[in-house]
Amino acid sequence: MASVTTTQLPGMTGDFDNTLDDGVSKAPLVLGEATFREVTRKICRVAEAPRAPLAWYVAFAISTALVGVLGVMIAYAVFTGVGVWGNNSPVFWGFPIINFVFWVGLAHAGTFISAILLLFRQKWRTGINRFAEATTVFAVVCAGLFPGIHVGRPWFAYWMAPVPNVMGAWPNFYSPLLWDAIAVFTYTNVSLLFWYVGMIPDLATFRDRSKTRLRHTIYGILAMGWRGSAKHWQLYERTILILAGLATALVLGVSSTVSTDFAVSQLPGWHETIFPPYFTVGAIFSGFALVLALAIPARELFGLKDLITKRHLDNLAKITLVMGSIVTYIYLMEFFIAYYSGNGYEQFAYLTRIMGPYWRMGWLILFCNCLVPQIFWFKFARTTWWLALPAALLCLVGMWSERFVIIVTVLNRDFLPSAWHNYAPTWVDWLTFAGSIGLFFTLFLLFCRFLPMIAMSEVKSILPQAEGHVHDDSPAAAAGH
Amino acid sequence: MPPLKTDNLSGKEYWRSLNELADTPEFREFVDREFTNNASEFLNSNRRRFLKIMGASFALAGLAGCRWPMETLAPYAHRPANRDPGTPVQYTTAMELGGVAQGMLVTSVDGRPIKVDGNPKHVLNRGGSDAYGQASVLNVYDPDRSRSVMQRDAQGKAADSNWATFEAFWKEQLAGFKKTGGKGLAILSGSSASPSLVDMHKRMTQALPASQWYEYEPISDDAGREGLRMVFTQAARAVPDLSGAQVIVSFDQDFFVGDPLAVKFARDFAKGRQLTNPENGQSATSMNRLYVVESTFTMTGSMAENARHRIPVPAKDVPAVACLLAAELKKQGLVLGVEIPTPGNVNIGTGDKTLEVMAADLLANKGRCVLVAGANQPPELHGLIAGINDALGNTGRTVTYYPVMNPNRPTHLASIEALAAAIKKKEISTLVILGGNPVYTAPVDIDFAKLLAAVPLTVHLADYVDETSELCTWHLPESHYLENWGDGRTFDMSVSIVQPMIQPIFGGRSAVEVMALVIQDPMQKAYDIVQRTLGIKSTDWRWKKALFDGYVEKTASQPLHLSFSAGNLNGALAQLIAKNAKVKLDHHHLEVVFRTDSKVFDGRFANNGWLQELPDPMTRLTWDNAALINPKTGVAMGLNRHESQIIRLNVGGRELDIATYMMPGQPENSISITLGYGRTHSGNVGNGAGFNAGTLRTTHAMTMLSGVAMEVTQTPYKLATTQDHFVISTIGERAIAARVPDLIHQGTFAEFQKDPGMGHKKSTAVSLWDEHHYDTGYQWGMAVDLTTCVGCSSCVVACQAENNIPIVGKEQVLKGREMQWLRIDRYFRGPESENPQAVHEPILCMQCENAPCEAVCPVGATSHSADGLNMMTYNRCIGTRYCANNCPYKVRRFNFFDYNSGTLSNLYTPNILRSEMNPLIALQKNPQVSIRVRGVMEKCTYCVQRIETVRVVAERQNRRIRDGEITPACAQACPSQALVFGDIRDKNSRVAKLMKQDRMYGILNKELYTKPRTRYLPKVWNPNPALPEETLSPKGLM
Amino acid sequence: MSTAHNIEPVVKEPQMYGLLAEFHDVQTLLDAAVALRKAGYKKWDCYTPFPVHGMDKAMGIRPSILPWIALAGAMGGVFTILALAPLCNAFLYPMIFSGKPYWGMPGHIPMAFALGILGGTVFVVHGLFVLARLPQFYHPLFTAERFRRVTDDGMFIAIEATDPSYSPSATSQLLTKLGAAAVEEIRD
Repeated sequence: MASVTTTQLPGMTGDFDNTLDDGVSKAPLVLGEATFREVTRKICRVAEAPRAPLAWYVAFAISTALVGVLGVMIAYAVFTGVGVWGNNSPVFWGFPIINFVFWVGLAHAGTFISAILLLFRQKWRTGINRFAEATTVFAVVCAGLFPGIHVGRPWFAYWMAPVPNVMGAWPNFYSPLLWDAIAVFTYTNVSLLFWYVGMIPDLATFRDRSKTRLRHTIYGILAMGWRGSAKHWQLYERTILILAGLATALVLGVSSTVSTDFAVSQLPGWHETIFPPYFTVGAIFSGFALVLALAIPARELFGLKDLITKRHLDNLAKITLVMGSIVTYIYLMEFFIAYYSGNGYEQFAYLTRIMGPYWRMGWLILFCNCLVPQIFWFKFARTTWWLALPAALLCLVGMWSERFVIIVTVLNRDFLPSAWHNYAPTWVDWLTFAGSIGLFFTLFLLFCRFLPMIAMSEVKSILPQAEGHVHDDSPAAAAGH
Repeated sequence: MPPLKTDNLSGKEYWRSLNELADTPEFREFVDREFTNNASEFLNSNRRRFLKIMGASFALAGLAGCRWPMETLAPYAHRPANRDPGTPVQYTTAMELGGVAQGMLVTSVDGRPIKVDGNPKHVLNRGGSDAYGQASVLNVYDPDRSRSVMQRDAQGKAADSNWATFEAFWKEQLAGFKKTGGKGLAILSGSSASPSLVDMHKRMTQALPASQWYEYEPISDDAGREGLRMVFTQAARAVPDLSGAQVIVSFDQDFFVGDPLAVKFARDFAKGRQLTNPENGQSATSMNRLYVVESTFTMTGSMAENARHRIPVPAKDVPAVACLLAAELKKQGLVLGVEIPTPGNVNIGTGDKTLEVMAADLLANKGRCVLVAGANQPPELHGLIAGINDALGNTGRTVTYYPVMNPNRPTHLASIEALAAAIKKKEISTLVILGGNPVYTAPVDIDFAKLLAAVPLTVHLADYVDETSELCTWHLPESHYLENWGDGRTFDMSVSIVQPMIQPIFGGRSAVEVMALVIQDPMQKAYDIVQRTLGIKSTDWRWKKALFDGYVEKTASQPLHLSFSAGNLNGALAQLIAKNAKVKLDHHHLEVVFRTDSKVFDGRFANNGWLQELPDPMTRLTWDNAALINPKTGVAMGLNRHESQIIRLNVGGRELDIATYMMPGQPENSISITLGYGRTHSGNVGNGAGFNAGTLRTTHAMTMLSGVAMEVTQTPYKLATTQDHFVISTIGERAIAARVPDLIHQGTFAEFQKDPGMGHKKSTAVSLWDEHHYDTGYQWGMAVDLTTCVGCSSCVVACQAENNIPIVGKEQVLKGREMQWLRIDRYFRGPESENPQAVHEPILCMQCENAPCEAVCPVGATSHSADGLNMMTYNRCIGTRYCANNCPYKVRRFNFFDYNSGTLSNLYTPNILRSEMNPLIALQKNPQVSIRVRGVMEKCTYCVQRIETVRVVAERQNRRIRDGEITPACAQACPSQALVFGDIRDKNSRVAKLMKQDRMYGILNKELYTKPRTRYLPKVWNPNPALPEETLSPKGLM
Repeated sequence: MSTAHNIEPVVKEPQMYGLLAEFHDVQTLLDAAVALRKAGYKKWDCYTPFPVHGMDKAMGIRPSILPWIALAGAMGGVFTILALAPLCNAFLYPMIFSGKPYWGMPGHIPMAFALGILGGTVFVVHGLFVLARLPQFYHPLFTAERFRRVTDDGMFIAIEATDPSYSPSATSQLLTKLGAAAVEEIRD
């Protein structure tokens, strides 16, 4: 194999701090020996290793067990009734919807990174976009689970689709729930296709490196006979670009649509024009927290420090900080609007968040979503795993609590005091939530083990030696034939 | 930021309960006390029985087939010819409660009675009915009812038997008695005005002169009888006419709960408060005024004009307050022929000025006022009140006296004591108990259980195998009033025929039939006996007319003209006052007041699920009773103000462990407990619900008891209330104070006269879109008058019965999953919690024209009909529950479980493992309303099934529906006619006339522009100008 | 060449697919591409493990019509909803919801937005597969051992034998001249 000259300084390995550019040359995004072959080897190593790290097996065992629990809980609820959860009157929506909104939020980082950052030509995204997209897909799967099972008669949930039926009845297209369903359906498909199309070249790599017939067949089918032809690359890049454009619109649209479930209703604390941006920002915030929380262990576990570098963590943390700050601003704005509206019902809805029966949750949100991200002002916190990881996890806790507060504290104290009633989740609620987390990690662990965790072709394309110049003066060049 | 605009408070402070004071959010876990240990069998009937029952009921399904030849039921509305299966038919009948017959109108489908309402022609009901009557139909189909004759052998083991065996057995006994003239034979009956039963009594004394007849009623109106006997030389029944009274003073009399005349009282009271006459739209020029002196915060107390028109005092001090008033009246120049003793220092709080004003008010309204004494007060008070009424010239005007059945009988208490003595003297060899449940209801110091053991042969006729049946040699199943013929008399002695709708499902017999058996009367069937007693043959047109009208013509007696003479009242009164003055009440010597329960009465309805789950109008309690304690007293004695806990009441070695309920408006050092709970053999619904106050009830203290010691245990207890399920934070309670004035508009009669609009502003909201215009066909709407609603809750039960609404059990109520479509919100209102007012606000579906629930349903399961109904399509609903979230009134109910199948104890079991709906229960269901399955939303529909039925009739006759032709169940039941339903487009309809009123308002319409069809007339008080409301502290309570 | 000799005589001569030339760095590849285009070759292509910038310029590949396909899909999605909603709620089964008009465009926008994106995505992805003729599980180049590195670090140019200006010797020499590290014949 030919020796490709690299611009690597000696000793630039995974722990090298490449977060700062010295004015002269851009700090490298790929550390260690950065040849094409080396990149391929590092990434394929994970999937080709005969045995995964022990930690993988432990994690996988736990998460699959939780999936089992999830199955049992769903069956119990479906066969017995919604009553097995804590839902009551007036808190008709409980954990299922809370979890739904939470998971949808988590599903935002992947698309954001691969779409928006792509449009902004952020090269560093190549290191993390693949598994960020994976988190998106899996989070959407978890999210999609809940609306399905939360209804009173899940076996009729398909009536939300315009299915011709003997009653001649059709869906009500004014209902935000319908908008919501369509948006989430769209998001599932788009993120899945985006993810898969982006993976095809790397699947081809797996195919070509495969030692056994089985792997060769499976990856061969998945790779669809990709052979890296220039014509393919041209179509491929154009497709990715268009998908990025569409996904960018979508990533801003989905949470907005989800937020209409609340904003279009009449309840004080829900009926707000600020909700769409509010939910979107919150979603991206939690999404990046999730990617950060996953990237840190992943790079340790699978020895990908050279590819997921401190610079990546640094950038993820920075975006988390920005989003967290916007969320904080929106919180303050909500309270101000409530105060300024002069509407007693509105004011009460916000007061009760921090002084009502669930005041603990209210303050927990302010702590987790407003204060905690602020530590990311400091580079030390951004690049130190034992600071960044807990911080990211706290942000996730905060965002889940926010969903809880938005749904429960509004419902349990609405207009007529006589109808007020507190809400308490049951053990079924908790186990179902835990089960959904298990489902997410099961899928994610399988992904880490059997699919290209990092977009090899994209990483290669940002290596210095991938650059070239077309020395061509003939006019025919552009036109071609 | 300021939490809430405090100027919203507008000087009125609302709050709901003391739970709202601290901020200790409690999270409810499973409450496994109720239902898990018992009720395992609830709603489960074993197969063999079931086949029998269905056999019977199917035979009855063609009632025409099997019974017509023998007996004719004259229909109320339709002719018996051309009866189509499935068509509801209505018959009159009568239900006896507390010795007074109520005229009922029963809806029957294919021979199954499914709904009981008041008979519009009956003098007592006039179409109205109370919760007891509404719920009574459920007992017919109660699987726990006694199902066969039972004989108990010497070892006390019970075995199924049958009537034939018993009859054979009894014939031998009777042969013996014939020789001795019935010596040793005693009958214990409940208080009944049934002519046939009285006739049977007469026949028995003729046939067996030596036999004994005793009567006992746990909740008795004897005090009135005896009190009037003192001053009129003959027992009588005082019947106040509230409709004619401008000033009403109640001395511990709760007009609206437990009194046999409650329906009449509610109607008459409302008549005097109705500010707009729906018939002609005229505004009232006068309004009655209510003063209340009471020992418990009752519905009556909640109707008092304001806190200063209500004097809470311990029950024992009520006569003293009456004396103070009488003295005041004399001072102001009333000529009163009674010597008024001067009571010791009675603490009537700020009431002294009230008494003075009250007296002036009474004197200003001579002949147009009325004073009423409560049945739980001693005879002396009744005598005194009769005197004052007489002196004020009310006799014959606002209070009339009617004769009573056998006036010379001893009091119920004396009677049961005599029986006890006789048994102790071994004079009784055979005791036949006709209904009732003396082992549970008799005074504890009599120890009826022990007495029964001393009687060789005891026969108990009862509808349940209850505490008494468990100890009797023979148990005979009693037929329900809807199952057998009978008769009864109402307060004016007019006779009503009790007409059955269905054969006795469990082969029970009525008291009359059992008496016929006991004396081996030639006539054995109640059908014949009633005809004989009334002297009307069933072939006679009078019989048909009687059944048609629901009462027998010309049987009402004239009011008595009695002359008042204090006589020995003076002495007795002086003694009473002196005695009571000696009784000191403090934290170590509390008073306990026993009251009739608004739901289970004296315990006889304990197994009625509808009533058990019906929220008490004042406490909002379901499935329990509790010790109502004044918060000041309670806290002073170390009780937790926000959480219920168990206390131990102890008097003379008798103990009662009971849960506490902090009830504002209770007098200090006085505890009120309702009777009828803590049953052990009531059936699976009632067993274990509540606490048995009877364990403190002795012959000396049947209605009130003093010198009770209270021991505070730290055992917490979960009370299932449908309001204030939980503790509310301080800001929450401030919010309530701020917003409830918007939810309940109110003002005084003076304000109303100045401005009939009462300053109500029309909604200025504008729509964002081109709204749907409801300007064709019928447009249904309902007007709710908050001024005339007394909160009696009969509408709630009526709705439950009409619309097949399931009960969910205590555990689910604790979780906030009760199913009643119609609820009556209760808000306390007042300067401080110690003596507030309460407002009752019925909340049903508002049928908003811009219904928030509709737009959000993804499958279009709820939408609007052309005639303005907010419709719910059950079989299209997938249960997203979004509609309920978005309903500002929270009137939508969700089937969290399959409440109609299995039992309440296995709700959490997967459906496939639960049994089908009990077929016996199914017999009660209204075939016109679908049974909702699990996972489906449901709500009030203005009884759309009734609307459509009438629409079909009208269209077949090619005419418009007449006003008043359609009445939803709630409006039909309402004794005070506070609910008016009709077509709001028809200018001449009653509802339209009310909707025209400027003061009419729609809840939250100003804020949300929902354009509700259910609109409210503000709550109007009529305080005496001399007793204006104190300005309320902004903090509200405390 | 080497592969040619291994073939059994009994088997009928497999037809020539073309030449596969391997290059070792991007710059050489680009220059070779430019040269080949100028040399007038038509049926040839470059194969790289990653998209090489300027390659389509170097080879003179026309811009694709994918954007138009995406647009069509998006429009399709949007108009589906804008037609379906009124059809269901205003014509087939008109129902009054909260007193709103049967046909309310604003309420349908969110769905139109989502479905538009869905349509665009589905169309563009399938457009990719159609235009790139994927899936294609067999290709003559796969028979070449060294071609397996095309997804790792190999960079190749393949010229098909059916190309008018193709001649086994001349083309092979040209490729070598252009800096190909190795040139081999591909038969299929």
